[in-house]
Amino acid sequence: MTQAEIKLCSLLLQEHFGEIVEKIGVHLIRTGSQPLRVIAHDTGTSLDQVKKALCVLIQHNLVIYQVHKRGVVEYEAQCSRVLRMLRYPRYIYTAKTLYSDTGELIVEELLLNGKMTMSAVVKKVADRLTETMEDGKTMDYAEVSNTFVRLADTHFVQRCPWVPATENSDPGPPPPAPILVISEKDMYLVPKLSLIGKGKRRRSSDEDAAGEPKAKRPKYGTDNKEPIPDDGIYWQANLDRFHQHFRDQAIVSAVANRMDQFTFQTQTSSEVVRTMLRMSEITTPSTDPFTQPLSSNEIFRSLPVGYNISKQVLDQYLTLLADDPLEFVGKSGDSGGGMYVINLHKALGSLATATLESVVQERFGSRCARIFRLVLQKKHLEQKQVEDFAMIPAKEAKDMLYKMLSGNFISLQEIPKTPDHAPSRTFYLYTVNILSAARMLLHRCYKSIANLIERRQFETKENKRLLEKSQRVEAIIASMQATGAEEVQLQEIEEMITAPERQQLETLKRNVNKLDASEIQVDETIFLLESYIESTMKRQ
Amino acid sequence: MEEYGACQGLKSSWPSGRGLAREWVGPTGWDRNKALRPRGGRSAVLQRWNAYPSARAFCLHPFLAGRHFGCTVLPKPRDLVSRTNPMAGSQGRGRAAYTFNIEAVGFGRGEKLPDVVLKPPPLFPDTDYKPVPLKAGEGEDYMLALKQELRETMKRMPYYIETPEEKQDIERYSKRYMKVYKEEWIPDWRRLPREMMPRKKCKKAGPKSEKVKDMGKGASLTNTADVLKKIEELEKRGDGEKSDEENEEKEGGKEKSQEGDEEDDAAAEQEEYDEEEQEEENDYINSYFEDGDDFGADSDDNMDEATY
Repeated sequence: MTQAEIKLCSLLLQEHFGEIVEKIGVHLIRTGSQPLRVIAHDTGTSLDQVKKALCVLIQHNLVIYQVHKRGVVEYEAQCSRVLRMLRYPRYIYTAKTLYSDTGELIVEELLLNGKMTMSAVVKKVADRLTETMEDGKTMDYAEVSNTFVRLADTHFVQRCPWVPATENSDPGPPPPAPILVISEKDMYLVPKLSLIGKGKRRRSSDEDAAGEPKAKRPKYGTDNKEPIPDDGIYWQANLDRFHQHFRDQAIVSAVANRMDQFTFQTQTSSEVVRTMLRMSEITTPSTDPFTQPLSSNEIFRSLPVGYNISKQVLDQYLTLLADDPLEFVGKSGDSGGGMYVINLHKALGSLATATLESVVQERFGSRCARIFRLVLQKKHLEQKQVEDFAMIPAKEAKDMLYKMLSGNFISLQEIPKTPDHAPSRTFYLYTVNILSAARMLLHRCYKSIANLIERRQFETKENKRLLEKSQRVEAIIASMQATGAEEVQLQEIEEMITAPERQQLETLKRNVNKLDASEIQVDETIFLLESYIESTMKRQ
Repeated sequence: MEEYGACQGLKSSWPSGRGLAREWVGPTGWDRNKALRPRGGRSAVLQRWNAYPSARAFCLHPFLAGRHFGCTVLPKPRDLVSRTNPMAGSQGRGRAAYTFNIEAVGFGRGEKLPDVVLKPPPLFPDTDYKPVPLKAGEGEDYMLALKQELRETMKRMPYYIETPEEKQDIERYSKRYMKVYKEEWIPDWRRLPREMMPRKKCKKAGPKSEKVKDMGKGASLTNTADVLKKIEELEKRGDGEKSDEENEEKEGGKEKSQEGDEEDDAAAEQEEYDEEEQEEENDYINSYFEDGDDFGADSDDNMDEATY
């Protein structure tokens, strides 16, 4: 793990789980797999706190444990999973677009709690939805369960590995740690539950408590003293499936940008590609370079209803897509009206390349971008050739090339003419190595997000006093309004915050929003680059 | 003075020494004089060598020893060479010079190269091109709001373990009312290694079990927070005997509800863990609102205090 990644993980863990968990987590990321006592000793924290921190981390799937020989249990942190925490808003928003508010809340609860049983999720989500609904209406458990089942069917949530049910005739002492198993076919199997009930509103002045003791501090599962029907079956959000969805979205929007500006009918080609991707969602594992071949007839049948293009038009679109130099879609055969595949690996490569080009353009200018694209296209070019092809004067071309070379976007390849590598008799060619440039950019992205988070924390800390004051004032106003106060009194309280202070608060809010939005968008770039790098590494 | 032979793996074949040019021997018929004669004098040589860092990727290691692309060992500039090694030769010999065709990298001969950079790059460099504005849209706005909300929510979850603050000299009055109510979380012990379960602590087990049986004595309360809390409760009740009874009731009620809560029917360890957990994390160990009996009274008290 690079230093930049470790720093980012440390910031994320600290923000979400506190200092202690951060210390333990970062230590594990740095040093790899370690047993409990060593962690406690090395970090200098008490055993008790280390245990609590590890429980939290394991609950959130950030740390896994393994039993080694002689009963030693070692804990290992998953750095890449920690970095996923940046993407939580995107996952939740995607769930909202696909399955509306219910789905959104289900995914949110699963992400916030790591893993949960289905009944717990359903209950919590129903309660939350009920609170947002109008008075008198409640959310039924059945509806939430249905959404949950749909999420499981489309693989957006999956079961966690579970403890195998062993017979009681197991000889010997119980193992130091349970070995969790998981089987492919059971991963999305929803247990048959009959959850009957409605969401409960949680208000302090509720009269229809129906004799239930209202605990002011809600406890985990306090209401039911009965056994939970799906005890031990935990669910987690399936991040890979979300990533697949994002990738599909990226491909479809790329095709739309490229092809659909020139067609009369809006977005036909992107619709075709989207259909193809949807058909191969479950059948093709996300790491394959190509989807399964789909025949043109199948695609025609699976087009969304209301899309009335004729078969010939569809064929024309498919041919157009297959002939496009971007090579998103390829033709793999002629049976069934033409067999077409989507080149996932190539598509990701094009997306990563486009990202690189865009970065070069924004950082160095459009002429540099021209040179960059030229070198990309021609693969290897000499200094003289670059000047000629790009039609840029020699001096400027030199300058730009060296700027990009220093920034590691372009690299030099030397080709000796003689075995003794004499510099006067060696060719020096400029080339772009996409994989290494992508890695460099990814590293830079991690650094930028770490900087953004630090800056945001700094800004918040600077204005901490002011923020607290404004919170107090708001609390006072709220309580006064609840007990019915006059307008004059409210105004007096509001004037406790002076105008310059209000200004300051506004500025702070604007800055924090900007920093947060930047984080989200840098994360999108990170996703593209990581997918490309992963897909390339798998192929090697 | 560092050795020049830092080209990796080639150290053995390289003559180590300071006088660079002097020790080069070229059986390939390389014309030493022609190549070594620096163009433009010492300062120009210095400039050229510092001009582009990446251009220095062509190290001056001699032909025989093989080339190491990307080697960053530079020949020392002429000045230092002559000062420290008096045998390095007079002017005209032993100067650093280019041994390759400078055209290939794109500089003309004798061209003015950019200035030497003698300090690290600035921390916040000026950018010629300002960054592109952020994407704005419904989705982005929603994700932004979601992100900020998640941040706040995470702080209130039981997974956020706060660092125990040092005891402040003065108990701030407002701290009592700004405490965050946290849910309690008990992991599923069946899924975790056995060593995760907190062990029975002998020294706490004694006073704990006593407390369970008999609150009224108030003996061996090791926790200062407990003491303070007890005082608060006693003040509130205003009636010592009643508070003892209530506390015992509460204690019993709490036990029952805890046993009901647990997913696991393990023993004393579990209960003690919960008590410890609660004691350490917050002051509300003897919860106000456990059973229905005293709920009304308590909430009334609270309300009275809140309005001024």
